[in-house]
Amino acid sequence: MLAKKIIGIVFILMSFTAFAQNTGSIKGKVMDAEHKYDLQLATISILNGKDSSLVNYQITNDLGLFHIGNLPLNKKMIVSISFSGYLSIHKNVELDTAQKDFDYGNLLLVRDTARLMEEVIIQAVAPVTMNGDTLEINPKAFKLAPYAVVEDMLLRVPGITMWSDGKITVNGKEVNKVYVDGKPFFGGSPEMATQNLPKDAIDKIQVYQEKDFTKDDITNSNLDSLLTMNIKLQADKRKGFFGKIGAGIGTDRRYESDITLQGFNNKTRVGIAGNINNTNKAIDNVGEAMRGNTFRSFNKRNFVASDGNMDGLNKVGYIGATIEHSFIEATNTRLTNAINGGYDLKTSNNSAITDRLSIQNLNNYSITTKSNQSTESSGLNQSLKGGYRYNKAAREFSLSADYKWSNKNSISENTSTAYKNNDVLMNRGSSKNNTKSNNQSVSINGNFNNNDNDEGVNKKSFSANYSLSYGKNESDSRRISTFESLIDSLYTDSYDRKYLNESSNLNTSLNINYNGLRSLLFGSYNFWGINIGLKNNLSVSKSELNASVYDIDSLTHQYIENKDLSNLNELLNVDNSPGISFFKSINRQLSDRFKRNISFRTNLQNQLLYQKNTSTLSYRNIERTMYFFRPSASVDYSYDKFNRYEWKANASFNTGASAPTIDQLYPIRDSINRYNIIVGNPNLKSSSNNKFNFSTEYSSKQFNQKNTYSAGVSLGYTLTNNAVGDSSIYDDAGGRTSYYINIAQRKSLNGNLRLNTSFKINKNNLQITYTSGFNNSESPQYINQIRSTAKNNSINNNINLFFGYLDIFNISIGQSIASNKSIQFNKLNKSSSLRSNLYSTNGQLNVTLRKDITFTTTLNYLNNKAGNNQRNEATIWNAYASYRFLKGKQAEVKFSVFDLLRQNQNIVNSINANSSTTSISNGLTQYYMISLSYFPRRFGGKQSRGGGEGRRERSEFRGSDRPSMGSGGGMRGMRRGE
Amino acid sequence: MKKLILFFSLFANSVLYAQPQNIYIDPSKTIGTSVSKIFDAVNFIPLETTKQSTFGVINSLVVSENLFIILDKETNGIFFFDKKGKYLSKYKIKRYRIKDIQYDRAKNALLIYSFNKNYNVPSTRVQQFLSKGTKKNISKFVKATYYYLDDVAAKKTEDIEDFLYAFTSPVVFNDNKFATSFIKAKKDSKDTLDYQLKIIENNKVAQTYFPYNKKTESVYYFYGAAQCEIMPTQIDSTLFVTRPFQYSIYTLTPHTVKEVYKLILPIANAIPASFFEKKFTRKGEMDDYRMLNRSLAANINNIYSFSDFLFFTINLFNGNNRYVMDKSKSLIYDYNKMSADSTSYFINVSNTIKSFDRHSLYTTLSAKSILNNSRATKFISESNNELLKNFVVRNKISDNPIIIQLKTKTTL
Repeated sequence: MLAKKIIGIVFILMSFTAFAQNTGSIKGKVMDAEHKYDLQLATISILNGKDSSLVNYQITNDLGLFHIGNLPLNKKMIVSISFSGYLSIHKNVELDTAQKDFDYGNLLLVRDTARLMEEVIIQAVAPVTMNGDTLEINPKAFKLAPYAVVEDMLLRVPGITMWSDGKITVNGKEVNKVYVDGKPFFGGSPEMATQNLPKDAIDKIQVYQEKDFTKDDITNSNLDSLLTMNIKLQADKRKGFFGKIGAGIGTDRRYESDITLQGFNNKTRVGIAGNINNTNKAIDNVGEAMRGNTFRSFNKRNFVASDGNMDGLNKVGYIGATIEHSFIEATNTRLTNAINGGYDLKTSNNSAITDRLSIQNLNNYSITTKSNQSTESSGLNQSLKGGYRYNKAAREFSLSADYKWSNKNSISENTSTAYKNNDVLMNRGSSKNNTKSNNQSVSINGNFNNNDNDEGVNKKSFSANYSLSYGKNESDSRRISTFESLIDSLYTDSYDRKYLNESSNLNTSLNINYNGLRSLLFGSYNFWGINIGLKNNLSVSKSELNASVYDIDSLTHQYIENKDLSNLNELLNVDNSPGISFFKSINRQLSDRFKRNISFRTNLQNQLLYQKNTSTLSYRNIERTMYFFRPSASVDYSYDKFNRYEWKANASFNTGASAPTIDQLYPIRDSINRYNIIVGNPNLKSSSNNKFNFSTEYSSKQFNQKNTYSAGVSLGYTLTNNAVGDSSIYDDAGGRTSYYINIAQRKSLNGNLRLNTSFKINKNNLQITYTSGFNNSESPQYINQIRSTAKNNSINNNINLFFGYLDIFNISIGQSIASNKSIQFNKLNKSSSLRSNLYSTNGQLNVTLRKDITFTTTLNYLNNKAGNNQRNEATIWNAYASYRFLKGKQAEVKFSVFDLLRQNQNIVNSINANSSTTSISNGLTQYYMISLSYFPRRFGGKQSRGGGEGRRERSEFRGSDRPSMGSGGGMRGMRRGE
Repeated sequence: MKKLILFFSLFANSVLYAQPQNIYIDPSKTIGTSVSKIFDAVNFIPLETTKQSTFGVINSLVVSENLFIILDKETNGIFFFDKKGKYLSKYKIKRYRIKDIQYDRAKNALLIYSFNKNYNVPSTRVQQFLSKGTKKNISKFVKATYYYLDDVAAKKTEDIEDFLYAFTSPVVFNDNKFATSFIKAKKDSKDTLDYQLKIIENNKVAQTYFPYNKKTESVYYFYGAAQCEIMPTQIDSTLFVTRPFQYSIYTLTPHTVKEVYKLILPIANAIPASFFEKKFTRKGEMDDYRMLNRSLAANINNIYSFSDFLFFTINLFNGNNRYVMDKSKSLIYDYNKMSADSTSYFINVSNTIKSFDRHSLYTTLSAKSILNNSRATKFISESNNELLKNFVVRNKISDNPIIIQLKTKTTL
C-alpha cells in the first residue's frame, strides 16, 4: 500500500512538471561576420537569467542552423552563442504566449583575431562541443557552487544520465571506463573521480569510443568498442589532496570513526584509510573505504550506512593504504607504465543468532527441522599486494603478487529439533564447536599480450598468462555433540572430538594463446577470412592434508586418536587442455543507414586429466587418467541503426566435464555418525554438461536524446549427463544412508529480463528499472529406492522507480517479490510441494534544503512466508540528517537513527532438491548517533584552495591528444582493408 | 652510398626545379567562403534507388561522356547510372574486392583494380614481386580489368595479363603508359636504391623519378607501403603528383616532372627534419609518433585545377582539411567552411571532390544530409527546381547518395 501511494505521488509530480508548462522555442543561423559563411558546430547555450544555470544547449548543424524547443515561457533567459576563435554573443530573451517562437535570423560572430594573435585565454562558455568524434564537456559553462563536484555538473549535462545505481550513460550508451588524465583514479571506480574532484579543477571532460585491446579477436565492430570518459584536470590542478576524518557516538554503546586521505600529483596517487565501528559497516579494502567517504554533495546511494542485511552484531577495525605510481606523465589511455601496491589490515568480531527452519520432503513423510545457532567469532586478516603494468599501443605486460594472512577463532552452539510430518517429535540434538584457524597464502600472476597486427599479418600475436600460488592452512577444532532419537535408540549418541588439520595447496598454471596460426600456415591466403588460434592451458596442483582426529574415551576421559579418520592425503592433479579455435566476422554497412556485424567463434578444446591420490587410508590410493572433449561455439550479432538504436544478440554453446572426486568415490567412513551414513561409489562415471545461452540487448542511441530506453533478456539451459546425485534410504527414525550414484540427466533453465528507461523533463529525471529472473531445475534422485524428481522453481521480480530534481531532491521506491517453489514427483504419482515467498518494499528519500542541509530516510518492509506457512514481517526504517558548514562546506555534522521501529532481522530463503530452508538472523537494532566529519581538501597550489579560476596557458583551437582509433590519415593504398 | 644515388639520379629522368609558386597556408587560421564565390552553378543528380541499385557510399566516381560510374566498397560493387541518374547496371567481381576504378578516355573503358578476398599480400611480398618478378599467376592475387563502356549492358571486359604493377593501382597515363608509386623500406634490404615514382610501359619500368634509400629510410618501414599521390588532370598527358611527407605539387608530363606549387605550413603542422632522422625500429614507435604529433601533415592530395581555382586536401595525422585557392586573387579559403547559399539551394556541398569532366567538378552527398536539412528543403519547395522538389517530396533518407555537379566561376 505504502509503495502504491509513493508511486502515485511520483507520477503526480511528473505529470505536473510535464504538462503544466507551455513551451516555446528559438532558432537562428550562426555565421562568420566578415566572410558570411556558416559556422558549423557552434554552441548555443540557453541560460537561466537569474542564476545563469544551463537550461538547454544545441550545436549548430552543417548550415550553422539551430532550433531549440521546449523552453519555458515568461522566464528571463540568456542566449549565449560561442565558437572557438570567435567573440561570443549574449542575448537576453523572454518568451511569452504572444511570442512563443523567436527567430534570430543570422547571428554574426566576429573573429577574435586580437586574442588569437596574442594567444591569451579564450573564454569558451559552450557547455558541450564536438571535437571530431569526441564529445567535450566544458565545466566553465556550468555555474555551480564553488564546492560543487564533477557529479553535480554531470547531472546538468543534457544527454548524460547518472543512474541511481552509479552507472553513467551518454546518449544511451554505458560509460565503461572513467579516467582522470588518462589514468584510472584511485582504483578506477567512477565515483572516486566524479564525487571528489571539484568542478572548478577540471579543464574539460572528454567522452569517446576506444578499442578494447583485451579481446582476442578484434572485429572492428561495435562489439569491441568501449566508451571512455576522460576527466582532464587543469594544468595547475594536477596535484592535491582530499579525504575525510570523522567520528560518531550513539546510544546502545554504538560508535564509529573513519579516516581517509588521498593525495595525488602528475605521477603518483597515494591513499590511506582507517575505520573502527560497531555499527555493521564492513570495510574489506582501501578502495571500498575511499569510495564510501567521497566529498559528494549528496548521497544518492546512501553509502556507508549501517548494513541492515549483515548477520548479527559486528565490530570492525580496518586500516589500509594504496599507492599508484606512473613512470610516464602521458595523459592518454594507451600508454601505461605504472606500479601499484596496497596493504590491508582488518579485525572483526561477530556475534550472531540464527533460527533456521528446514523442511525435507521424503516419499512417505516429511521432516521438519527447527534449529537455533549462536556464533561468536573473531578474526584478523592482513594482505599485502603489489603490481606492475606496462602497455604501449597493442602490447601489454603485467605482473602482480600478493600475500595474505588470516587468523580466525569461532565458537558456535547449535540446538535442533526434528519433527515427523511437523507434529511427531523425532529427535533432538545439540552441538558445540570451537575452531581456531590460520591461513597464509602467496600468489604471483604474470600476463603478456601482444596484439601486433601490421597489414593483416599477425604472426607475432599471442598472449600468455602464468600464475603460481601457495597456501597453507592450520586448524584446530573441537566438537561436542549429543544426539537423541526418540524413535530408535540406535541413533542416540554423543561424542567429543578434536580435529587437528594441516593442509597446503600449490597451484601453478600457464595459459598460452596464439592467434597468428593462419598467417603462419597459409601466408597470404586468408582462409575465407577465418582466423585460427591455438591455445593450451596447463595447470598442475598439489594438495596435502594431514588430518588428526581424536575422540574422547568415555572411561579414561583421554583423547585417543581415531585411526579411521586420521590420515595423510596427497592429491596431485595435472590438467592439460590444448585447443584450436576458429573465428570469423562478417561486417556489412550502408553509410548513414546501418552497421551490422555477425561473428562466429568455435573452440575445439581437449582436456587431459591425470590424478593421483595417495593416502594412509589404503582404500583411497588411486591413480587415474581421463580424457574429455569439450567443444564450444558462439555467435554474436550486432545491428546499429544510425542515430536510432543498437541491438545485440549472442547465442553460445559450451560443454564441460568433471570427474568424480575422491570423496565421492571413496569417502572416509565415519563410524560415529550413524544417523547420516554416506557410501561412496567407485564406479561413478564422470559427468558432462552442455550449456546453451542466449542473450539479447536493445538500447536507444540518439545524440542528445532526453529519454533513453534499454532492455535485455538472457536465457540459459544446462543439461548435465551422469550428474553425481544420491540414492538415500531413510528409516522411520529419519536415519539416512546415502549412496552416490550417477543420475542420467539433470536439467536447469534460467532467465533474466532487464528494462531501463530514463526520462528527462527540464531538470527532473525519472528512472524506471525493472528486473526479473527465474531459475527452474529438475534433479532426479532416489528416495527409499523410488525414483523421485524435484522440480525447483525460483522467481524474483524487482521494480525500482527513481525521481530526482538535480541534486536538490530525489526519491526512489522499489518493490521486489522473490518466491521459491519445490515440487516433488515420484513414480507412485505422489507429489508434494514446498513454497516460500519474500516480499520486500523499500523506499529512499533525499532532500537537500538550503544546499547545506540534507535529509535522508530509508524504509524497507519485509514480509516472508516460510515453507511451513509461518509468516514473518519486519519494517526497517532509518533516517539521517546532515548539515554542511565552514567555507567550502568542509565540515559536516550528521544525526542518524537506525531501525526506528526496532524490527531489523535478516531473512533468507533457499531451496535445494527436496528441501526448503528459511533462516532468520538477528541484526543490528535501534540506535541514535551523532557524528562529526571534516573533509580536508586542496587542489593545486596553496593559493587555489579547493579549486577556483584557472588560467589556460594557450587557446585550444582544434585537435586533441586522445589516442587515435583508426589508422590515421596519410598514404594511399597497400594497407589492409582497402 | 650518396654518390651512388647521385649517379643514378643523373641518368633518371629530369625533375625540373623551376621556381614553383609558394603557397603559405596555416590550416587553423584559414577563413571560409560561400558557394557562390567559387561556383556559378550547382546541379543535383539524384541516383535512382531500387532494390538492385541500392548502395552505401560513393568511394570513387568516374564521369564519362554518358555515364556516372560509382565504386561502393561497402557493397563491393560498381554501379552504372546514366547522366540523369537512371540506374543501368552493376558489376561485381566474384571473390575479388574492388579497390580502385579509373577512366581510360582513349579506350572509353573503365579500368578496375581488384584484389582476391582470399589473399592478403603484405607489402614486403609485393616488393619482392616487383623487384624480382614471380612465376606465380598474378591474377590469383590481383586483377586489372578493362570494362568497355560503349555498351554497358554487354558487360564486355578484358583482363590485362600478367600485370605485376596492378598491386600498386597505377594511374592511366598517355598512350598505354601508367604512372605508379610504391615506397617501402626494409632494414635488411639488400638493395638500397629505389624510386618513388615510376612510369610503366608494357609492364616494364620506362622512367623513374625521386630516388630514395630502401634500406635506411625508416619512415617507410611500417604501415605497408607509402605511395606518391598521382592524380589525373583534364589533359591525358599530364598528371599531378605529390610525395609522402612532402608539400610540393608536381606536374608529370611524358618526359618531365615539374614542381609547380610548394605549400609552406606553420611549424605546428610541418613535419620536422628530425622525423626522417628518427630511425624507427618498431611499428609501435611510429604509432606513438603519430599519436603524439597528430597535427603534422602527412601529405597533399585531391588536387584539381579548374579555371582560376586550385582545390587540394592537406592530410594531417588526425584527419584532413580541404582548401581552395583563388589563383586570380591569391586567396586561400577553407573548403570545409564553405557556406551553402542560394546557389546550392542551401545544401552543403563542401564534401570531398570525387571526380571531374571537361566542364565541371563532382561531389556527392547522402540523401539524409539533404532531407534532414529543413532550411534547404524549405528553400527547394519554394524554388522552381522541379527535380529537387520531387526529390524532397518523394525520397527517403535511406535512398542512394546524390551526385552534385559544381561549375566553377570563370573570369570574364
